[in-house]
Amino acid sequence: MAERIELRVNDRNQVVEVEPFTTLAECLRNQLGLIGVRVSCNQGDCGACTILVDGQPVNACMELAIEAEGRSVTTIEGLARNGHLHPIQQAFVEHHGMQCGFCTPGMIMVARALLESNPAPTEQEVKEALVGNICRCGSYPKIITSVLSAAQTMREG
Amino acid sequence: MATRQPVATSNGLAVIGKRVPLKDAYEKVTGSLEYAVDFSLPGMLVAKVLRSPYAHARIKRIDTSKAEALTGVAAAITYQDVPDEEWLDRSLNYLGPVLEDRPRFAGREVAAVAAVDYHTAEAALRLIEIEWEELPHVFDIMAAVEPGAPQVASFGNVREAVVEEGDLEQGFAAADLVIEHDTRMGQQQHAPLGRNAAIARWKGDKLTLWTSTQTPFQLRDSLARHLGLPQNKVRVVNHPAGASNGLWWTNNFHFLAAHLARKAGKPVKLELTQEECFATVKRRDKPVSKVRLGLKRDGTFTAIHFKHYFDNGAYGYKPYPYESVSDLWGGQRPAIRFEYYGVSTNLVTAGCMRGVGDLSMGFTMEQAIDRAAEALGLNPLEIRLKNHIRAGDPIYSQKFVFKRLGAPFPGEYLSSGALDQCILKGAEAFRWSEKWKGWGQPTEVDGSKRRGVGMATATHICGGRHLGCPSVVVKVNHDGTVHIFTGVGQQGQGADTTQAQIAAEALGVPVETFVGTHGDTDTCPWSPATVASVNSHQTGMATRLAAVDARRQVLELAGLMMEVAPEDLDIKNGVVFVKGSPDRSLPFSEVTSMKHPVYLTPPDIIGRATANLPESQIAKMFMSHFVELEVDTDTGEVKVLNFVGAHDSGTIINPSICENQVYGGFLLGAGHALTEDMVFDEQTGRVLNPSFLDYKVLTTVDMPTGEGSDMSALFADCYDPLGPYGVKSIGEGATCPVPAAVGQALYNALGIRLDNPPFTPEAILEALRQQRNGKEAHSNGHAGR
Repeated sequence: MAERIELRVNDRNQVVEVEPFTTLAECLRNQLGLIGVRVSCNQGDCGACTILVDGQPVNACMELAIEAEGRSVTTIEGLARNGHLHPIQQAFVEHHGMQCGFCTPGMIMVARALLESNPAPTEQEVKEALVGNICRCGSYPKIITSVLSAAQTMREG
Repeated sequence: MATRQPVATSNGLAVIGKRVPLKDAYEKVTGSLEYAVDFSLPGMLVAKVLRSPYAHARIKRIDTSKAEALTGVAAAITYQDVPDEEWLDRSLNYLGPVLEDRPRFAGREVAAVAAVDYHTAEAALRLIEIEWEELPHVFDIMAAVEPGAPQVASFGNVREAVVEEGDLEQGFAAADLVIEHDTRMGQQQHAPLGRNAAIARWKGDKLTLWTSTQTPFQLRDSLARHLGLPQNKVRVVNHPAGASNGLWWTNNFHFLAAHLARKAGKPVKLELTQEECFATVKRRDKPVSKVRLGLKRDGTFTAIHFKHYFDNGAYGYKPYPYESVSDLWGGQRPAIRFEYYGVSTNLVTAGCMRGVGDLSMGFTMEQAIDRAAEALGLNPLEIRLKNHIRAGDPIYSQKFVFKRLGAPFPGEYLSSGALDQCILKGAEAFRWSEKWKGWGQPTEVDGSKRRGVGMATATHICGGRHLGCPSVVVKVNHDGTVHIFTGVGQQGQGADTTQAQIAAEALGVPVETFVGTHGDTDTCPWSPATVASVNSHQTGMATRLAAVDARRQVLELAGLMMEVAPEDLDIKNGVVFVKGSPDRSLPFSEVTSMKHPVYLTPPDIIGRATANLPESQIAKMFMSHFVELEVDTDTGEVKVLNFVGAHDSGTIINPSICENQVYGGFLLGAGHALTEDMVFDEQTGRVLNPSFLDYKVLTTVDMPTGEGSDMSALFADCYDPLGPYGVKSIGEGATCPVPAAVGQALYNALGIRLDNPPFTPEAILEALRQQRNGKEAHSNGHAGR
């Protein structure tokens, strides 16, 4: 039986109808059109669908939509403001922190959470934060450069 | 932290050689890029596929009536609903019917259902009744070549090809040393992060299909042939792929979607699950390689006899592994005989994956060279420098193609080559001479941890004349902005960006003014498939000429306005000016927006070109990779500490893209060498590890970056006379030397020869156990320690 729930997504209130078994990833993609929530493994192995729930990175494929009721969800679509890229997004563009781009939203969302709690991470800390995010193109060195560069930009404000 | 090496070449060039951001970077970082899985249509149905549980079986009876009666089901198809004929992939990675009554691997499509939602489609699959008759199967390639083996394919189990030159017997007679070496490599899977989908829609007798593919025009042509439609009645609209590495070409699921949509009378989306992506489409062709290498005492190669058996799986059709190993070691003109056997088995279809034969055969060849070098007291650099080909040397690898076509071999030679630079500059950047302690000698020992260094070389083609002739259109709008139309497939390699850079350079305008449309078969000109590292070198040639054609038209207009002969004008950085008098100039956009005296509006400027590679010269890329790693002899774990990838790709269009290609090549090559291996069920051949949980790919912590580590790419100074602005290619070659370099480093760290990747902790611990027991850890009986 479909259920109506209220979600707060990218600072806007949304009402969606979901089945009890609908994942948060399915709900965000199919009902709210947020295709930046990339689904690959659909079982929590790859990190491509990473979003922030109450500021914490989670795999959207491993959460049920109904569990997110009343919580604050941020997807990659919520990062840029008024057409201006977030400094992390800007750094990924400048430093080629991507190739095919499928892992990119997940990488950026994990980096966002990392830099919130640790504004000056070491390279090793960046690597460890991103260990659950698979990039099959092997762009990791430039992803790390992008995150470190963004951290510096954000510190310099 | 990855270091940025200075990049040579690109003198006097405005756009080539610049670290231009990816054209679609904004879409990628905002999540707005549409892969095929993100595409949908109003009223669209979704599809699910029923797959064979058996390796080889006959369908005696199949009944879909209960499935079709289920509420919400629009159509079900079986082999009875599709043509019997086999469809053929242009690059020979597939030959088979869309559906058939004799599925040949566990996971092969048997039926498909279109319904209003996935739950209904899945429920319908469970209602399909099938009566099976199991048939004998064969999984091992060496068993499949035996007479009396179960016959898999319609053409038998073996496809053969030979490349030969010179007198092999004489070559071996002249040798002072003959090395024999056999390897078996593990089973690599493309393991894409992005899934794929095919969305098919019929309007009357016109089919439109949206998907992510490297081969939009080959898919269009194959669909048209299969459906008996003219090419203007099939439109493929290509989306970028979430990595492909050779997986998403013209695949059987594309045909299923087309048939389902026609029968259902509605658009249908067939989206593959991750398990389906990993286990039912394609995998790298698994090889068994045997080489005999004859050498003089001074290391000169006199003869190479290579036998390469590779798995085509159930529906592969390749007689030849697409390799340049047979060309690479021709510097001293050894006699060569390379025999290839493409073998059909009852496992999921096997075919091309990034690097193809230059990775698999290259691994075996490099190991044989290492054994020879050690026996002769040579180091790994000098034996390679002595034997590799150079510009102007003959190329024989395509000879059999001409033989097969009944055409005379034109005599081909190498257009450019700088492998010597790759070896020497790479060694210098890596500090090889400090780290190399001799064969089987560790660089450093610290308790249970032993460090070793290794290096290997490889080559690969840069497209090929036989792939077909690329065409490109460059359209200049009235306001001076530019559209480029090509048939290239986008899989993260940045082809849209590099093609725009080539065109911007030729037209004389900033690359930011370009927008690309790639792989829409109704609007773009035909192009070869994005395979064989085709784009920067071969497609780029047409792109440059199309831009030159547009430039000529702009200069004619400017000549009218400025009352100057067009040949006295030039364009740079968006400004048209009189040569020698740069103050007499007009902005590019002012020229293109001029009201034409005859046409009244500004004329549309459409530059076009169709260009192919010449017949007798062939460009190849070259690379030399250097690896330092640490093995823990207590756990068998391997950690790569340092990596240098030195590449000759001609002029570098975009250093950042090329560095990413090298890092990606390392990721796939090192994954193949250390962790990646598909596991098949012994009874059914079903893939047992079709997920990132069980199929281990390398992650960020496995890359040699951070404290005490370094990872860098550097590029040789080489200008290719064929490619646009001296450009060659890079993508596939970046994977090729890695497994052999890792193998050599392991030998040097441990003094144990390991021949059969992946070199997992289990394999290393077993080898160490055998070493302790005094046995040779390898089976070939050559110069171990």
